[in-house]
Amino acid sequence: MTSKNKLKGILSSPPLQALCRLALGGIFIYASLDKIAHPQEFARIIANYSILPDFLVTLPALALPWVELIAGLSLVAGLWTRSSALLLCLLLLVFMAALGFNALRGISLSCGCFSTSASDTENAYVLIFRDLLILVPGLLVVFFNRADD
Amino acid sequence: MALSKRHVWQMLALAAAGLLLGLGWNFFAGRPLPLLRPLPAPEAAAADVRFGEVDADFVLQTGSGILLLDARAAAAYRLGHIPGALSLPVGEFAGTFAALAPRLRQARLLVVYCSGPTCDDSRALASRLWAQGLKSLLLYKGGMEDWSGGGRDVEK
Repeated sequence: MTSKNKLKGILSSPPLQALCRLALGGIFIYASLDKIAHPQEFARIIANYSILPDFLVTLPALALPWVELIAGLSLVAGLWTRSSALLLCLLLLVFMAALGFNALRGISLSCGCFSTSASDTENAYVLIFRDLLILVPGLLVVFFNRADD
Repeated sequence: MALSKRHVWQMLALAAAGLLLGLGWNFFAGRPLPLLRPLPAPEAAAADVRFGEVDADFVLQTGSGILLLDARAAAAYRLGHIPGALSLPVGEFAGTFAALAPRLRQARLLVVYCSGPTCDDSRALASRLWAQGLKSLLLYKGGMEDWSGGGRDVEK
């Protein structure tokens, strides 16, 4: 077995894959709950990002938390594993782009990451770095999960 | 390893399910958000509004367009109130407001009072009125206590 195959074997090992699924899925399930409970507050946070036109902020505010919840649940359950993980990775990329865009514009805002509280304001670069860390288990599932292919 | 069309469809299905659930959740929510329209202006945070205050002299010279509102219970109003004041007990706001609304909206300025400097009903009433879009509001903090203590006329 070459070392490349060995690495592949480790990355696609069931325990590691399960850990990644539970971590990523759990994070997104947790993140979705407060936003589902407070759609209006979340819509205002999206509006504060000043990226979407005003009339388009409510749809993502309503849909996004539920997408996070469903994809998180199916990832934890191991259904449509790679699709769920890929979807969540794409969401993370969108989040990072939105945070980065506003950081470059010098707009400081409430993240809306895990809660709709206005005090959830942190340095955008720290948040982007956090998203990058969360991206790791996601990419491991997308590229090395062998359960559903 | 490779991603296939199937994964794309699954992702679309997940996104669509999220959208449908979100719309459904919104539909059955107490106060649904408007779709494809800007958010309503932030709910006038009446609790955060600091109302201006006036004293008895100001109340005495209230002329046309200035309306006095008594925030106390109806029974207290009947026992005696500032001449010309209307009774709008904050405890019965929901039932009373509609009948008075046309007069309130005609007034240029509303001055709200309750029993005295320490009562909170005038503030509470002002907040309710503010939330109804009536924003020309001032408090007479001295209230009934200050008014009758100064030997001024009391209407019954």
